[in-house]
This record gives sequence, C-alpha cells and structure tokens, in this order.
Amino acid sequence: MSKGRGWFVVRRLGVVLSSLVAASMLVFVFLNVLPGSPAEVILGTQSTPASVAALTIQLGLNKPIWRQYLDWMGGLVNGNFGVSYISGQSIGHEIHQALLVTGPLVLLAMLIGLVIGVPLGLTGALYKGRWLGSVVGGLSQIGIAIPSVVAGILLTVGLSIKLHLFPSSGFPGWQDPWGSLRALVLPAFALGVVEGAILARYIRAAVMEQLRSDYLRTARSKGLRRSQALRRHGLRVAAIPVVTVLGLEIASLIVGAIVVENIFALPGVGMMLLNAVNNRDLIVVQDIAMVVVTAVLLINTLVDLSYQWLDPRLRGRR
Amino acid sequence: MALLKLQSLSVAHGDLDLVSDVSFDVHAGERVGIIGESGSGKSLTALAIAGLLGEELRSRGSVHFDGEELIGASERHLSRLRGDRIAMIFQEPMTALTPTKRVGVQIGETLRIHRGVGRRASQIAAVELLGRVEFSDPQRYARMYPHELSGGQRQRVMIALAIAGDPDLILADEPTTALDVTVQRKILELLDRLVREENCALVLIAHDLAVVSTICDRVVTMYGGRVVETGSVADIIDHPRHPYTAALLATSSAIAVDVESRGTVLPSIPGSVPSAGHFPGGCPFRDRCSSATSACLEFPLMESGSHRVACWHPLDENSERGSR
Amino acid sequence: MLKSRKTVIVAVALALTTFGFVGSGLASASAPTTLVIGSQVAPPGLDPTSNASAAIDEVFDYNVYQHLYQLNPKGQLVPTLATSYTLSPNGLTYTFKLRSGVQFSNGDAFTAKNVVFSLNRAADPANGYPYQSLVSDVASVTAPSDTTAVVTLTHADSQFLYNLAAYSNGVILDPNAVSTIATQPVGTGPFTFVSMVPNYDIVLAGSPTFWGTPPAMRQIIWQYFANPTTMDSALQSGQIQVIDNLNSPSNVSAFKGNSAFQIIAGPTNGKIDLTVNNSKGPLKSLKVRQALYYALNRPAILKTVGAGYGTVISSDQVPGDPWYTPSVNSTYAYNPTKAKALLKAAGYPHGFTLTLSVPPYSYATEAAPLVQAMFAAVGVKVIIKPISWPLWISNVFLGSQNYQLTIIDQVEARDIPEYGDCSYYFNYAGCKAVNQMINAANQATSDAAMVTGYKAVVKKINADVANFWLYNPDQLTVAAKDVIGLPSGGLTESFNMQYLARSGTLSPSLIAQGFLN
Ligand code: SF4
Repeated sequence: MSKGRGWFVVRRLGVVLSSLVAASMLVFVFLNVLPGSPAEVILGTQSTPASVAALTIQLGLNKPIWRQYLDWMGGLVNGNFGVSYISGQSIGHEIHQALLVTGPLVLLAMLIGLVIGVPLGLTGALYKGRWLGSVVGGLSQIGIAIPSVVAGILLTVGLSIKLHLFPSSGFPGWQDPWGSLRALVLPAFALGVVEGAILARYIRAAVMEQLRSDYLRTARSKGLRRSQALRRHGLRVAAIPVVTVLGLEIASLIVGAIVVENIFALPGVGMMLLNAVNNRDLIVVQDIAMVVVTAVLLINTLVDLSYQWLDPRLRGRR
Repeated sequence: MALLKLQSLSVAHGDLDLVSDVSFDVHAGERVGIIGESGSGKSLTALAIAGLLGEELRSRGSVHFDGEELIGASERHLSRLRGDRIAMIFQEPMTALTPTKRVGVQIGETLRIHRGVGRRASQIAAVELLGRVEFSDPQRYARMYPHELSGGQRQRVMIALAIAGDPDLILADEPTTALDVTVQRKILELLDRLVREENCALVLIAHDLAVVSTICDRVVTMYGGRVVETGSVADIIDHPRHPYTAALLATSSAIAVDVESRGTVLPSIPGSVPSAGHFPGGCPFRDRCSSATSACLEFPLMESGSHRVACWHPLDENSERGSR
Repeated sequence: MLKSRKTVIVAVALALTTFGFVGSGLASASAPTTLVIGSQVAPPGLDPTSNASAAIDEVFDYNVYQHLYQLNPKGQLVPTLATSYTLSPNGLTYTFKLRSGVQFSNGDAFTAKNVVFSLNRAADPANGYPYQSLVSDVASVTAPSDTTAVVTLTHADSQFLYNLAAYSNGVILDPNAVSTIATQPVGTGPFTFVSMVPNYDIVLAGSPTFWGTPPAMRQIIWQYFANPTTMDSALQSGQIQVIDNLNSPSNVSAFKGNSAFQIIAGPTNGKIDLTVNNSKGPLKSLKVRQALYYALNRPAILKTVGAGYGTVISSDQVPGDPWYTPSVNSTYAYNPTKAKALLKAAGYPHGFTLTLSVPPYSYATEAAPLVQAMFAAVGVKVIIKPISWPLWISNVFLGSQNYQLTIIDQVEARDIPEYGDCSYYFNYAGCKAVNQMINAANQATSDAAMVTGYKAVVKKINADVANFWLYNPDQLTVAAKDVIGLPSGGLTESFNMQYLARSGTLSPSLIAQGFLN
C-alpha cells in the first residue's frame, strides 16, 4: 500500500507539472494578445511611434513570441522570475515580499473562516429544527450574502475609525510582527467572515448527513451519546466534503485578496497583480499567475492526499 | 418478572402513528422473533426500545427494561444502557460500521465506554471477540477496515460488537437479510450459539418466519404497525391463527418444505404493503385478506392467553398450517 | 464536544482582546521628524529617466534628484545646482556657473562633468528618456572647468531652461550610480532613497551629504492607497499626515470645516480637455466644433467634477503660463441656442452621433455623462465607451488614433507646442501654421516677443476650436494642521518636500516662493 501511495504522489506531481506547463502557455499567450504594450505605458503621453519602437527593442519585446516564452520559462525553471519591464526591479524579490503579506492574510482568513464556520456548522446541524439552529442558519445566510468589500468597509469604520482598535489600512512589515499581525486582522476578517459562512453551510450539510448515517447509529448503540458519536465516528468522514470546499475556497480567497488588499492598502500579491495588469508589466503578471496556479495545484494535490488520509476506503485506489 | 415489558408502545411521525399500541414481554434469556413484511413497524419498535429513533420520530407508551422506564429517559441515561445492557445488531453490515475505523477499534470501543478499559486491553478483548465470532486470524482482521471485509464478515463483526458489552438483551434487526443465503445460515447459527452461551435475551426481527423459527422461542407478528398475533414458535408454525401469519408462513422459504424439489415458485401474499398512513382503517390487513368481512372495518382486539391473535375471523386453532 | 466548542470561542475572544487592546497601546504617534504622505497612484518604479509616470517625478524629482535650475511652487526658476547662468546674444549658448561643495548621496562629488554626462544621456534617443524630445535641440555640452558647464543649442529655444527645470530630463546624475538607477537612486537632493515596498510605500530619509540646510523632516514615507476612501480614513485616523492631491475633489467635503486639517487648493499645469479628433467625421467642420463648444456648460462641469476648484479655460493655457490670456477664456460661453444654430448652419439640423472614449480616471468618468447630457440637449448623441489606460495609449493616443472624443488631463506644463505637431492625436489642421508660429516665438531673443508669439498661438487654436478645453484643475492638498512648508500648488511635477516641517515658521523668502506657512 505504501508503494501505491508513493506512486500516487509521483503521478500527481506529473499531472501538476504538465498542468503548469499548459497554464504557462495559456497565460503567456493571453497576456501577449492583450492590447497595449509595456513600452507605451512606460512612455505614457510622451509616446511617439519612434520612441515606442526604440523602447520595445530595448525591453526585448521585439523578439519572436516563442523566444520570449522560452526565455521566460527558462528563467522560471532556474528559479529566476526575471526583471520587471516597468520598474526594473527583480520580480522574484517583489513576489516574495508580496507573498509575505498575502500568504499570512489568506491563512489568517482561512483560520477565521474555520473558527466561524466550524462551530456555526456544527451548531446548525446538531440543533436543526430548534431555534438555535435557525439563528445559526440565518447568520450564515447573511454572511454569504455580504461581499467582502462591504464587510471590509463595515469593519474599518466600526473597529478602526470609531474604536481605534485596529489600523484602518497599511502594513508595517514583518520586522514589526505584532503590528503586522494587527494590520492583517481586519482584512482577514473581511475575507474570513464570508468564508466562514460558506464553510458553515457545508459543514452543517456534511454533519447532518453523518447524523443520519447507519454507523453513527451503531456508534450510539454502543453507548456513545449523539455528540460523542459524531465526534468520534462522523467528523472524519464529514471532513471530506469540507476539505474539498476548503481547497476550492483557497482559490476564491486569493481572488478576494485582490479586493481586500486594495481596500486596506496592503502590499500583497493582489495589489501587485492589479498594478502589473494596469501597467502591462507582462512578466510580472505571468509570474504571479504561475505562482497562483502552482499554489492552487499544490493545494488540490494536498486535498486529494488528505482524502486518502481521511478515508481508508480511498487508499490504494487510482 | 419480564426483563423487557412493552406496553402500548407507539411511534409517531408528527400526527401519524407508524407503530401503534405494541405490547409484549421478553423474559431474561428468552428469544423472541418479530416478523412481518417491511413497513410493518418492527424495526421502529426495536429502535424505540433502544431509544435510537431518528430526530423526527416520537415514542409514547411504556418500555420497561429491568424495572426502569426507558421512554422519556435522558440520552445520557440511555447511553449508559446501550452497549452495556442492551445491544443492537443492524441489518446493513455495509453501512453500519464506521468506514474510517479499524474493526478492532470499533469492537473494543464498547468496552472502553462502559468498562473504562484502556486502548491496549480493549484491543486484546476485541481480538478475542473476533475469535469468538469465528474469525480464523482475528489478529489480522482486527487491523482491517470494514471495506476490506465481506458482508458476512462484517455482520460477524457487528455480532462481536454487540456481545462485547455482555448485554442482557440483544436487538437484532434483520441481521441476515442483506446476506447470501449460505452465509445467512452461518450467521444465524453463530448468533444462536452466542446468545445461548451468554444467556442473553434476544429480540430477532425478520421478515422471514424461517429465520425466526430456527432460533426463537416465541414469535410476534406485526402488520401495519400493530401486533396481530403472538405465540410460541410451535403454536405459530403449526397453528397460525391470523390470516397474515398464515400467509407469511406460506411464503416462507425453509418452512415450505423442499421448495426446490417441488419446483414451484414461492407463493406470495396478494397485494403489497401500503406505505405508512395508507393502511385501511379497522383491521389494517383487510384489503389483502381473503377472509375479510364487514366486521373487519373495526379493529379487532387482541385476545388474551399465550397464543393471542387480533382477528375477527381467526383461522381454526386445529387446522393444519397453510390450509384453510 | 461542548467543551471544545467553548474553548474555540474563548480563544477567539482572547485573540480579539489581545490584538485590540494591547495592540492599540503599542500604536504611538509619529515622531515630529517623520511624516507620512498619502497618494493614490503608486510609482511603477524608481527611475524618472526611464518612465514618464508622474508618480515617480512627484517623489524623486527635486527631492532626491536635482536640476541646474528648478521651479518653485509658483512656477518660477530658482538656481539650484547652478548658481547663475548667462545666455549668448544669439540665444544658442548657455553658460552655467555651478555650485561647489555639492556631493551625491553616495559621496561622489558633483562637478561640471556630471552635467555633461547627464544632459548627453538625456539627449540620446537610445536612452529612452520620456522627455527626450524636449532636449533634442542640444548640440553640445562641455565642461571648461569643474564649476562651469556650457550648453550649446542647435537653434534658439526660449523654453529650454524652463523645460530643463520642469521635466525629469534635467536631473543631474552620477555616472557611477547609473547602472543601479532602477533600484538604488543616487542624487544630490535633500533626501535619499531608503526602501520601497512595491505598490505600497517609499521611504526617504534626510540626506547626510546634502549641501543645503538639512530638511526638518528626517524621514518621509509615501504611502499609496488604490482606494481613495481608505486614504481619507487614514488621514482622519492620523495614520498619514498629508494627502498630496485628492483625485476626486468632491472628497474634500470629508475635511472641510474640520479644524484639524488644512486644505490647500493651488494651480496646476493640467488642462482637462474633451479632446477632439479634428480629422473625424463632423468634427472636421469648424462650425460643428464651435457649436459643440458652445453646447458645453464648462462652469457646471468644473463645479460637479472639480468641486469648483479650478479655472475654466478656452485654450491650451493655465494661469501660471507667461502668455496666459484671461480674455480668451470668456469665449464660447455656454449657449445652446447658438450651438443649435451653428449645427444647422453646418448642415446637421438633426445632429449626429459621436463616440466618447473614457479612460479610467475619475475626472473623465465623472465628466463623461455631463458631456453626454449637454450634447444631447443640442441634438448630438454621445456613446460613452470606457477604455483602459494601456488601450487608450495604444488606440487613442498612438497608432490608429481611432477615436472621436476623449477626456484627458493634459498635465504637462506649457505643452501648447503639441498643437504644432501634425502627428499628434488632435489631428489639428492648423498644425503647420502653429508650428511656424511657435518656432518663431522660441527663437525670439526678447521675452516680450516670445510671449507675444505664444499669445498668438493661444488665440489661434481658440479660434480654430482645436480642442474642447474644459478647465484647469487645482491641486487639492489636505494635511494635518501642524504641517508647514507644503507647496502652494501643483505647478511642478515634483512634490517639493524640502521645507516640510511640523513646527516652527517658514522664512519670508520661502513663503514668497510659494511654500506655505
Ligand atoms: S380481522 Fe378480518 S381482515 Fe383482519 S385478518 Fe382477520 S379476517 Fe382478515
């Protein structure tokens, strides 16, 4: 069985790698057919056909497109993200810095989502049909309906401008770990509240299904109370759909991070991406796209591996 | 005094009674079979005894177990009885075991709950129990997951799980229905042997009289959520008095001697069991009963005595089975 | 189960209280020698010589990099790295006397060689300076001594010194530091670059090698807010002390009447234009352009879009220009009746349809519907087409110039020569004539003659309605009450930070130059 699992991992990695190559081509082609060139944006209203042509050559954008692709991919394979057309800065360094903001932001948001979603979902399932269950159901409905923009603004006004509990925006950098964490709390809440509401619904559904399952009844027939039986016998299976949703939600959290970083003025990957798109800083956009695709693929792989850990029935298959 | 005494037990879903006015006793060490087609309320009766009805179902009446009233008892109190004094065996071995836990752990859990036994000791006990349910290599099987076992093996695990707590009463809800015919017999023999060894009372639910007749002392026939006949196995098999019992008997595989040699198809009871709430008023069986008369528009009261029946036109006490 | 749920709730509550209360205790007021300035558009890089982005110039020009001459907030020339200059009578040779004892922030000495290097670098098209064309008439730059630099032009250019001072092509560089100019700016200015977090902030520190009086602010942080509401709350909550310019002037209401803040509305070089493609369809007709210009209620547009901060203009001129002719601005006053009559006379009694390409800037998106309504009132239908900035550059400004109308703030100072550029996207039919007029004015040897020449251009393009000039917007700086030394307006690309302070008073000479006390 362990050999089978090893093979599974190897095959998964193969799938991940080929997906990455496919994604890189797609991203590259898509960005290169976008109208507007970096040279024009750099020169702005000082552009003339001659100056744009000269800068295009200087930036190496006159090379054939396949050559540009290979140069870029060659760099990536060697861990070199290249240099921004616009700022002339090393992109790898910039992405690294931005990930140090977005990574913790997304993780914190996910944590907040779990802290909100797990108790809400469990309560909703265990108290289904009673008033507490209805209240919880209503809360999660509201949570799902709130876009994170609105949640962000409400939190900013309430907790930072009115109460001065948290900074309304900005990020001091990790040399000030406490300040940085504080700066991430509101944005993470803005992201995580919606997350938690969605999770709560899935957890509630998954737990309710477990509560109806035959084996939970067996567990109770052995002398476990309902909640004990659920915890010892049901949660692990209930975790499977929840983990799936969690994996999918990571992607939506990364998208949400773009919005939230914008509102809270955080120097994260989302902001970097937005600005790079606006500036037609193609290599930066390509690099970020690849980082995000890699992250999502890895998370999906982890999710698949976790299925096997969670449910022995899935081991040694595939 | 009876170990288990049911008096006017009813199970309702909202305003609809799915089980009505069920009363019977089970004495210590006695083995009682409940028969009836699916939809007759026998499984709900068993679940009501154990307090394991679904959220949406409510029970009324009385379930006395060893002098205690179980209807209305707290979940905490019931959970102390379950597994320890009352154990259950379920119909679907495929789904009744937790897929994510090794069978040894699942068997040992009963002991850990009620006896305060540690992980290691419970494992040793689980292996021993697996041996008792005739696993040839219990050490190995204890480490397996349910999906790695066959249906019969899983049902043996269920039995091991049930006897683990050395209960006074086992409620077995169609324990063999989902299994192959050849496996069925083995499981029944095993159950029979273990119940005898443990000297434990058994309520065996089946839709097949043959299954009940092999190991039970007494039979309760249910139809439409009501008890329609009860008596000793000999009484019921030799002299069924309720037309429904007689019909069940006629369709029963093993009792309709040498079915295969006769080469005939099993006769079946005409009509089908209505869904809950669609049984006719009066005698619930009257739209399938060939003896029905206008009297049957009233529900027939249960007679008293050891062989009791609820029918306006019971079959002759002395008539041979199957013939009317 | 219950227990674990309780634990979770307690943990959350604990996290909230510790983050909240302990954290707020840590937040301390900024030291009086530190200032945080908020701005909306983050610079795309650090190098003003390779990117036209105004956000780079705003921070680095004058503050980190210096010119021979610079502009004060009133738009006047101030000797900086030069102490004086003489111009040969034929207007071709500038001889600059240079300041001595000046060091770059890396310790290198500033001499005339730096001037030679920097101006040659700017003039060479291969280096891709965004404003290269403004110094394309430099014939030679020499350094007869360490403190003398001589610039010879191919032809007289009355705007040469102004252009050298106003635009980043005039920055004086250290050749030893040019290879790392994208990441490690080195200049002679009052501030040095410390660090940048892309799209987030830029940190500058007072330069230890600065030749002048050290700036009072030892650290200035530029923080960038893509979301203007967030920036406003940052100022209100004291996280930042200055907003360089409110891009949506209507946001000023958040600070008006609050004694904790000062609002500074000062002139800029910007011309918010409803730009006309003079070569497209009905817009080719002068009568049509006149009609449409009459149809625009420009004071109303200024009031709505600019919150009233600015000056209605009717030609390519702003109050800071030497040739500013206020009387021109009273032409084409709002007159829909006249507009309709002119349209009829032009052969369009039933109007026509125009497409308005709107780039993603708040003034453009806010003005577009007003324009649409005003034109509709005279029977001309306007289709609003939002367009991204890169696409605007590619399709409207360059290439096919495939547009009829667009709205843009032409921010460059004294850019009226653009009307003499026949390839420019106005496609103005009078370009050749204007070009000749401008060349003549530039070669004038007296200032008076130059001004007269430009005034003629101002009037000609107004008469030809080469464009629909809407208004000259003010720069709206909002700052905490205690900040002094802020520039009084936006007549320079640079946001000059040299005299910023949070206590004391400014010298009268600085106040005279347009720094605010
Ligand atoms: S009561 Fe009537 S209908 Fe019911 S079983 Fe007896 S005979 Fe049949």
